[in-house]
Amino acid sequence: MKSWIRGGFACALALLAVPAVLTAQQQENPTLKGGISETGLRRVVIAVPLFSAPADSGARALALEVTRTLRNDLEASGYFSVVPPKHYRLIPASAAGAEPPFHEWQGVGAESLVQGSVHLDGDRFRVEGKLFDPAGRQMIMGRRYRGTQDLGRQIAHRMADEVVLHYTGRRGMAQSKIAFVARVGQAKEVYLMDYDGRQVRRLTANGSLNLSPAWSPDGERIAITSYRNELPALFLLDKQGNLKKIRLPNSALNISPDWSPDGETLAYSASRRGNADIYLLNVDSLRTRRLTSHRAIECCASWSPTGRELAFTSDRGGSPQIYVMDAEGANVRRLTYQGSRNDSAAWSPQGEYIAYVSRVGGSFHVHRLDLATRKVTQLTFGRSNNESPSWSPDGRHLVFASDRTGGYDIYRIPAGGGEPVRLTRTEGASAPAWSR
Amino acid sequence: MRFVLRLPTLQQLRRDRMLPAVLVSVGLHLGMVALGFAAMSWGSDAPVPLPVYTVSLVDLPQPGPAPAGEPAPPVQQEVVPAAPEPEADSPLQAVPEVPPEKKPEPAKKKTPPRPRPQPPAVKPQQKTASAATTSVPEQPPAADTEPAAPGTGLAASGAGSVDGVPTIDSDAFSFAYYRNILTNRLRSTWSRPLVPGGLQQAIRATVQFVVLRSGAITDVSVQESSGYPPLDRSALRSVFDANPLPPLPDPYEGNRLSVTFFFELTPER
Repeated sequence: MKSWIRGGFACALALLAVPAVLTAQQQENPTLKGGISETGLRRVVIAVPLFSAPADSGARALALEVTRTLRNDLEASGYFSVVPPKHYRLIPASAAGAEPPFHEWQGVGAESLVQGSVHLDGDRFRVEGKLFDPAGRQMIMGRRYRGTQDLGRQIAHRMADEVVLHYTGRRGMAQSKIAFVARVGQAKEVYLMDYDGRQVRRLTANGSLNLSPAWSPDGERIAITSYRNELPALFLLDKQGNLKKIRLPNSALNISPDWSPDGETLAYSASRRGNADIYLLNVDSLRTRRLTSHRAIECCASWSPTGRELAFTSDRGGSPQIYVMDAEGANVRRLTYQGSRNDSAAWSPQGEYIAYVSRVGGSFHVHRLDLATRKVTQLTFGRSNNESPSWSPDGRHLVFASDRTGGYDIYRIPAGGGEPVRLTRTEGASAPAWSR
Repeated sequence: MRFVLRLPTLQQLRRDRMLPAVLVSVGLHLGMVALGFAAMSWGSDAPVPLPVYTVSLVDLPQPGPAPAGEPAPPVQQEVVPAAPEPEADSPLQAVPEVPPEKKPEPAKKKTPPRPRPQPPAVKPQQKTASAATTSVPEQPPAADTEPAAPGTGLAASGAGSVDGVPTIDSDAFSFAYYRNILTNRLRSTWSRPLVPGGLQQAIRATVQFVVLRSGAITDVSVQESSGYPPLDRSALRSVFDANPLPPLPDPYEGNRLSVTFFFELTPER
């Protein structure tokens, strides 16, 4: 019944929108385009009241940080809708150890409830969080964490992933990281941040150009292209920020690495005779293998999650388009036929989509290709450029770089389309790479 | 015209010095025939892939009533280490993982899968001549060109407890939210099969599976066939696609949960 109403509403909206779009186009005005593609998943309404804390300024600050981060994480996951905090004041506080007033929480629409507390534990803190099912008047899950004051966000991220796991069977993305490139004077350096744009850390500091970070599947290393030694070469960046060059035979212009799902092989592009082709590199033995040997420019490979195929860009058909091939270099098929310029393929973690960038009019936009149906969905709109898509580990979100505010910054968007959330404020950030 | 097959006499063979060749030939042929028989009898011992729905879980040797692990404490202890200065020395430092949960004992496979008697299932009444649904009692005639009714009947069934492992509907498992999640997940992963010619009455495939504490699904089987194999297969596929489910709730004391679930197609009204 509800879906019927929603359907009718959508139809009415569409009918209203069509003439508006037509007239707008006729008048050469900027057209408003949009789209929503949902999986049909209904968000669980969850209440996260402020964690209780003893009368200690440090504990109170920690409680506030954990609560706010947790609310933000749950909302961002796409699985939950957090009850607005102003409703919480209506609910009487329960005595410590007593069961929460479940019927009151149901009264504000909460289908789920997280209650937590912060305790002083010597010079450290103890944070407890419990997940309840108000309808069943039961606890679902309880976790206790110990840490220092500065770990509040980390604790909240872990708790959020546990909550998501207990509703979906899959861990959330709250503990994932995003590597990206930011301009520092004339140089470009690799940075790291939490998935929500917080806790930004600089990883390289060599004053050169450091580009196109790619995560190893275990999250321990990042492969990058660096111009530190004049010519672009591949480097491995470890978690201490140490940079190690991959010494390739007769290396020349080695760029754009991508790590195979088993962590053993890097796909990269190299131009050995002035023509870029795609190569594979065994990370341990440093043995390389050439995959493409076409006269066209081939670049920017992205592994399928099975490790059996690669998507890449080639201009063998006259314009840059996305192609796929087997990991042996055979069986090359063209994937994209719309758009004069398609680039930056990124294969989704579950394997069903390829995100890529396509030129629409004068600007670049992130698109998503459904491999089963070959249906293309445009995810970004407007006059800005939107580039370098990268998937969240759960495949439900994408990050990309956009110049919609003038300078380039990193944005996150639901993989089905939606409103982008700005993550950085550097006016010079690009090439985001989401950890696996 | 007559064709006469004349076998050469022994003397003729001897005279033509053909005897050894003939003996070798006869020997070879006999050998081949013997080999053939051997292969056939060996082949019959080979494991024949059985249709999935003949496997029954009911005969599983059970690990005994859930006392396998001590009751889970209301709050599990997790330690977030006091990572010194994350900025300086370990930018990529991940907090160590949650301590592993109690390992559930592996399900023992029962040895010879006993074929279940095909239930006198309601066969989908088919309009085509090939519908060999002789055993079906006469149905009231359906509305003529009714399309296959991709029905929506789907619910957890309260089939009896598989001894030892609490079923999802027993008193030992009183977590309504988990049942809702499970139902929603299976509803979203189920793609309903087409029934050419439509249905006269509801058909139902009941599957059975076990959810481990981690949420992983194991031991999936068709408990009761619908009589319409595509429906049985779609039910199994739905369960496979729903894997993994959320972990079992902390306060639940068992390590396994047995689920019986039916997928029903109902005639369109």
